[in-house]
Amino acid sequence: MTTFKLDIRDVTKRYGEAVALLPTNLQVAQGEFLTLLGPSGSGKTTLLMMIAGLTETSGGQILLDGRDITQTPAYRRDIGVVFQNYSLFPHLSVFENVAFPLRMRKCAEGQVKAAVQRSLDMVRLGHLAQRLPRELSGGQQQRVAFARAIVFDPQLVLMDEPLGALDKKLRDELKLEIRKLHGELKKTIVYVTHDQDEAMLLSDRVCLMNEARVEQIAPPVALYERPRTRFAAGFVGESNLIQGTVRGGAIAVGQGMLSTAHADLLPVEGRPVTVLVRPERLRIVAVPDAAALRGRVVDVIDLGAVRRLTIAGEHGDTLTMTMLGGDQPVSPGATIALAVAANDVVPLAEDAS
Amino acid sequence: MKTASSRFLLFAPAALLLGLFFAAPIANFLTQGFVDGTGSLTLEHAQRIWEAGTYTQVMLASVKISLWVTLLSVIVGYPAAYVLANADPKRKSTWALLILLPFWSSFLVRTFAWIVILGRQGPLNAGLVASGVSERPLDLLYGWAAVVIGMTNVLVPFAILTMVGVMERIDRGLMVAAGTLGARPVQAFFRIYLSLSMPGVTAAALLVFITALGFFMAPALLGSARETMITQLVIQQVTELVNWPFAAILCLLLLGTALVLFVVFDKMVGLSTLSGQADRHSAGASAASRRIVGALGDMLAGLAEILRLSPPTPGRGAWSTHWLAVLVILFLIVPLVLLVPISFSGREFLSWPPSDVGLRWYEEILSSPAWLDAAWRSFAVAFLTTLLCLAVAVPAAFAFQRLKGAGASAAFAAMIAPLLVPRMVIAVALFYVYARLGLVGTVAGLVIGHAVIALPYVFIAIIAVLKTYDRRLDLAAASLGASAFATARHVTLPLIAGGIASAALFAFVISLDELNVALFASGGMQSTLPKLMWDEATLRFSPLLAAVSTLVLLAMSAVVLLAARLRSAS
Amino acid sequence: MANDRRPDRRTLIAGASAAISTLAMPSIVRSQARRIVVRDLGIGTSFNDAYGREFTKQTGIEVLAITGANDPLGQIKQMVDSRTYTWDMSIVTRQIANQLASDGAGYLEPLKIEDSPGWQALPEAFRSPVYAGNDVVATVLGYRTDRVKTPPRNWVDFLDVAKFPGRRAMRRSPVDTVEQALLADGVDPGKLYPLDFDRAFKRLDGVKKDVAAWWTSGAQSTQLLQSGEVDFCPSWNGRIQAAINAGEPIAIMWNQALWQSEGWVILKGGPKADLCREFIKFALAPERQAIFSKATGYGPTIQAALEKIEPAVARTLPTFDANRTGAITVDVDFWTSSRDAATDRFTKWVVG
Repeated sequence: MTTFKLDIRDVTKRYGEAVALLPTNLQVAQGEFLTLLGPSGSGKTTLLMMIAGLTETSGGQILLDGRDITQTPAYRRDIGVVFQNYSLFPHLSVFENVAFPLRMRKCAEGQVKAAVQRSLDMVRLGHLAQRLPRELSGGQQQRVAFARAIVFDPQLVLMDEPLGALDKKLRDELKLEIRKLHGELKKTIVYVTHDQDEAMLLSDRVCLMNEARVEQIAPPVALYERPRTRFAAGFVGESNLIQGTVRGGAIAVGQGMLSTAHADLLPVEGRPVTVLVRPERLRIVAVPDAAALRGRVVDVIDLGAVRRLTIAGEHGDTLTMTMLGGDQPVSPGATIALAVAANDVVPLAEDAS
Repeated sequence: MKTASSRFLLFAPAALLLGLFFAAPIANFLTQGFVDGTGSLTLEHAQRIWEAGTYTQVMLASVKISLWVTLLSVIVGYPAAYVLANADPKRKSTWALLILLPFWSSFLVRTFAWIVILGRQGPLNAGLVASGVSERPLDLLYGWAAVVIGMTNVLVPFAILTMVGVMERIDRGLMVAAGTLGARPVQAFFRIYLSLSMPGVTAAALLVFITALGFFMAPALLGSARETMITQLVIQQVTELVNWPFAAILCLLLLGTALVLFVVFDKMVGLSTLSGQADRHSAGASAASRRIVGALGDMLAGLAEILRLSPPTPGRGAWSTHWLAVLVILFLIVPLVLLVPISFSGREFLSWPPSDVGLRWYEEILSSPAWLDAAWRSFAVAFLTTLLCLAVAVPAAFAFQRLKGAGASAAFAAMIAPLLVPRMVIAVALFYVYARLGLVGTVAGLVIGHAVIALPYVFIAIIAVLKTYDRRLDLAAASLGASAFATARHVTLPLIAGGIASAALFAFVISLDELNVALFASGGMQSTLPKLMWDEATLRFSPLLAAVSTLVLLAMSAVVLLAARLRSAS
Repeated sequence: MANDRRPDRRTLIAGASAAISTLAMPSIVRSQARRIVVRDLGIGTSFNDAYGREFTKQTGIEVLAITGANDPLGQIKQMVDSRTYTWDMSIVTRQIANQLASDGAGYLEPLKIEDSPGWQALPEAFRSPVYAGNDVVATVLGYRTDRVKTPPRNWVDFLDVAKFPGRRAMRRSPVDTVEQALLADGVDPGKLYPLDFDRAFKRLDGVKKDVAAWWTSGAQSTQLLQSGEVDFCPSWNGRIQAAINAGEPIAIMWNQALWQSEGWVILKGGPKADLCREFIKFALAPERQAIFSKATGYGPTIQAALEKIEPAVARTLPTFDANRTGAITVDVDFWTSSRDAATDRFTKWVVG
């Protein structure tokens, strides 16, 4: 059996009566980019801080390269951390900030110079080495923080909402940059965010968290395509949650029937079930058949590239549909029939709570 | 607030106060050093300085003692300031109360307490003999050590308060970040925290040094003749010999020495960080000092590793730091604690051990209109002094923040100038201005004099806080449409309220403890508590002093506790 | 800590209005026409017990006693120069009075109370046109009887560190100290003045290392002896007597006591000079001086006062017959002319 880079076994955190993280298991492979995604209070930052050694665990084990580091102090873990507020040392130049971890490791001066220059070049800040942090823009500061976290070639890099304090444009830019850097460095990265776009763009796998526990761990596409719970379906991407009843391996929704390719996920015959259908997977069909939903168009928003329809379904739910722009126009008030491929009908488990 | 004229307006109150009640009288006083009996210029007095080398020798001794006191005050004060700044809010008020306790009592009284503690029959010697450390009582009093201990004891709280203001603003996340980068807590402390707290340390050192340079009571009471300090000679010239010209010359010697040390200090530690100018040009020197400090931290980290000492990590229970702070507090409050049992002594003299326990001295104080009157007046004067100081120093500090280069240096020097002149000289010089204005022996006279003396402390405390204040917040507020005044009121002032409060505390405590103005500029009229204590100390040396000290301590503690209670209730 | 306390607006306003009313309060002192301010020695309540209360009762003139620094030469000059009479009159040593009278245009008001019985009862040595003696202060040697086995007989013994081992303190001033050094060096008390400073400092050189403390205030000298910090300490007799009265094992060497007197002076040009004259006439009375002497330990200048004091107390006063036999009167005129230079030299010597 291969050893995971990071192996989290039954790690939990309690503050008195309050539980910040239920016993959690998580494995991260060498070179993987794993995102801890979830709303605030879901326990993602708590988990990250425990991995970094900045918060003590209340139970469980954390293994790095198969070595138990649960009791190892932060400064011996060899884990680089990028903080949301950058945490650059204001009295040290950019160069000295980046050199700091190397100096702590008593590297030779020549080595320090070379490594710092390499890291700074990598984040394209080589020319600003002598500046003080406060003389840099927010995006530049974040890049320095990243350079500092990787310069000592750590076993693992942790990033705690590193783009949280930046504006949208800069965020988009840096997202791509982080993706590129990950590709070049092949570092194992655990990344915390509440932004699903970041998670989708960057991650090899996403660990979705909610209410102090892991909701689902999956590659981004799988998380999108096959969310396991209502929460997962709702948190990642847009969703139509349709209530129905299991009937003969399909789902009866009002007058219509939805067939699913994932019948194994359905509860027993006759039980109510919620299925997910992504808005862009709905199709308008000219000839309605049994496997179709009917509804009346309530609103049309034309965004040029895409068009979003709000549809009052006959079965009682409101549906959202996204279609490419330029197709034949649809006017509000029209009654339409909608079809969906069986593979795109995903039965959801009820949420744990 | 951008125009030069509005900046001038902000400085106006300070300029008025210092111009009228400091610069003019002091200039008048100092010029006497170069004028002979007929009013023409002379160097006759100035030349006397070099006679027999006595005066330069005394000056040198004063500098040496002050440097030691500065070093010790900062070192001793640092752990306490650190614990205070990093304590969680619940514990913080307890720490603050303990650390500031000595503030609530007269420094005169604390100095006298050391006479008792270090005395041949004192508790320290009794302990040494009883424990077998020494066969017979040691001669601890009347020497260099006693002077340095006594002065340090008085000045440490000043150092603590100055440093806390800066330390409270250090982002704790930086230490955490340093940990993740491989720095052991001790290393992180030396390489990050210490550097970031340096503006506070510098401010504290400067404050302590200059205050120490003007001391005269502690060396007179605790030292031998060798520990004579220059201010003692100034006072002798003024009160005993009434030789104003030569007193002026000695004052100039003191001022000149202080200025030279200012410059040296600036070159070595970087005074510019304090006065808020660009930090870049001093980067060379500070980078070198940082390397030294960093290496020291690495060494200590290794040592701590071997000894398995718990390192100081903010927020976490770092018992070694806490114990250090407790030791500091013990050192600070020992004189006060000792005075409590003595205050119940029925004997005639302030001495150890207390005997004939009773309430004799409390009865004497509480039945004496003079003492009650003085207590009332002292608190009222301290309150008014605080208001006046803040009204003058806060606008000046804001205007100062926006100055650069030579203008900033000049403004800084002007604002802290009263520190450089012995208080006693200020008081004597004030007398003439007061005589002209009819302020001799009035409450207003006391308040103005106290404000002039307290102003530098208040100013330094405020700019130390402003320095670490992120001015982008002001810009943010301005960008949101707030006027300069609204920005100050709603954004800046609330954010620096902590710093303002400690500045106010400085003013209050300095006023409450100020003796010279009451002694020399009021002719003894409108007696304040320190004035009565001074009389008591120089005339009787009875346990009554201990009783007053204990009462003031109780009153101030009650006020502080009440404030804390009110705050937690609201 | 400090940011815990945020005074609300109401307390600030209340405080400010209290402040304004305090500031607006006119100086009580100046508004009182029938009131004099006297700088006093501040020894307990002795001033009011002996003079103040009774004087007010008899004349209706109020007396406010202010405790001022020792030898307030500078302060009195300042007040007269600026014509700000915070004090109307003062008690000072004879030497300070002479100096105030002789400096510049003179800083003291002529007393002109020659017709009063008190003035006439005052021996010539205790009065001048601007000065009326109130008490005699003797600088004597105090020593711990629990540590000093053989009582010292004169100043020679005091500075004989071989025969009289123990810790010593001396006054940080040439006054008294120079006399003690010369007497210790064997100078004939009758030929003490003019003082031979070279000889005195030479004698002091020999004992400098044996003097642990140099005191500057009277209370300090009392404390040094009383706490056992030193075994020998010359001081003013009242200071040492206070420790003896408190039951401390201390004795006084009366032989070669150095006498000075203290007395009343009026600040020149003051608005209350006449009221002050009334007060001085009143104070120069045996029964009043007797009360003062009993409280302070200093001898009355009017011999008749001694008879009004019970023998047990009278025996402890400098002017008691047995105590005055070996006494030496300090030559205040000599000091008036040489004090500044001597102080300067002494300071240089003591810190060097």
